[in-house]
Amino acid sequence: MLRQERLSRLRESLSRISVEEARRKQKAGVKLIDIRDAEETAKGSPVGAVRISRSFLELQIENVAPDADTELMVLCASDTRALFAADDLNRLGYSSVHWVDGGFQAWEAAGLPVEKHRQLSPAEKERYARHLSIPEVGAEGQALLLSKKVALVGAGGLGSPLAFYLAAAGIGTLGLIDSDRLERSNLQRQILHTDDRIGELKVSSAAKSLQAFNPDVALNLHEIRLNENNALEILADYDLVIDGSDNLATRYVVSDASTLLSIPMIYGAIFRFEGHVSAFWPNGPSGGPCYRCLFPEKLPASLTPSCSEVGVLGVLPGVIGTIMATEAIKILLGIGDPLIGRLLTYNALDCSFHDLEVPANPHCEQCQSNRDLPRMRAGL
Amino acid sequence: MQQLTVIVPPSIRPYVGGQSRITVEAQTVREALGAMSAKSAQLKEHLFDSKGEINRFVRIFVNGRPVPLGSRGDEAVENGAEIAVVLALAGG
Ligand SMILES: [Zn+2]
Repeated sequence: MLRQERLSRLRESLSRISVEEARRKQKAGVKLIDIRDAEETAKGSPVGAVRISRSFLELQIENVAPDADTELMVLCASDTRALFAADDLNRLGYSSVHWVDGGFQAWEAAGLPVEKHRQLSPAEKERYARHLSIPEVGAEGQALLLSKKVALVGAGGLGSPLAFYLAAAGIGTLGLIDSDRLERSNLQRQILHTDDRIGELKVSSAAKSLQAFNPDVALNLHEIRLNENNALEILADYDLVIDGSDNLATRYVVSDASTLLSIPMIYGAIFRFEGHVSAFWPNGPSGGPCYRCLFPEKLPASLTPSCSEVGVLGVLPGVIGTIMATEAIKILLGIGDPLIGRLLTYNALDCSFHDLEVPANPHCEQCQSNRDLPRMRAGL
Repeated sequence: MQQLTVIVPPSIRPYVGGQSRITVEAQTVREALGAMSAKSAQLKEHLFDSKGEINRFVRIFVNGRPVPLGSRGDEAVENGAEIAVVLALAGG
């Protein structure tokens, strides 16, 4: 039994650590390498572990540990492959390598934290290839996007670029919330729809376009107008909500519901040549304001004309909607510096942007109240 | 007297001759809003309530930094400052 002999020799000579020690070291910043195959890690892997299949270990380890002094821990299903891999890493020049005794089986048995990673299919790898090449997205980020559910309030001007780009990005599930029917005058800007669908419900027209564009995206169609009575139930299922509605009452409803559900809200609004974009997530990791912190009192009707009354440059929702889609993807991936606590304003006529600081209002009854739980309020 | 630039939101632009940016002579935010609405009682009513407080649906930023809610806008503002008046937009 040559294999057994070699294994027992390695067991003696290489540095062995228990799963508990591995977890402690990992928390202190030592890299844990899960060298099992993709089919195995798909069912779960130690949280935060770097997954490099055994067959690619020598080829890829330098990306993770460019320095031969880097301390490394190697884990497989039990310990056989980890022993051989640790031996190989030693030969490659790594001087501080440990094999994790008992491997993933022991890790799970000890009740240590596990995370699941969705694997990309060959077709997905091809479709999202340009995302996979970006280090900030990569296969893990793409898998994350594919697992996310995003609600889109409004399938109109802002909703059009949003829906297209979110579907293109591979958001797993898109919920479209709109009760309107398509009118010819919508087509000057609402590129999600087509001339032959005038009179159709916007959500069903949108579904046709998105299905044709990226059939992998699951669509939930909500043919309903969001209000304070139905918002919590409809939005409860989603990881993020995007407000592309066309009236202030709905904007307050989306803000209150997202605050109560602790999900981020991407906000955008337009008027002729001008637009606003921001992101609200008062109970998210970085705090910040809600929509009511920005606008605690509703603008009087005399100052609130709608697009249908004042008009809007057709391309404007394209500019604002694509910034909103970008912010949504950034927040879902946890990358960059999101527009939380900032209001971005855009004026197309002089092509100017303003980045305005919006702090949480310490007296906001909706997001800062610690007296009792805030409730959904009418959209006022 | 020092000069300030006020960035005017679209829905109240009709009261200032359709301008998106106007220059006013003022030392404070309050004076800037007063100068801006000097010729229009209607605009004054949009900006201030009956007690002379700045309406809570009017948000003001000086060089990108917010004037806190409830402020009367009496804080001194430096010469050349840009005062952005922001009102909610409804459209989508
Ligand atoms: Zn708030």
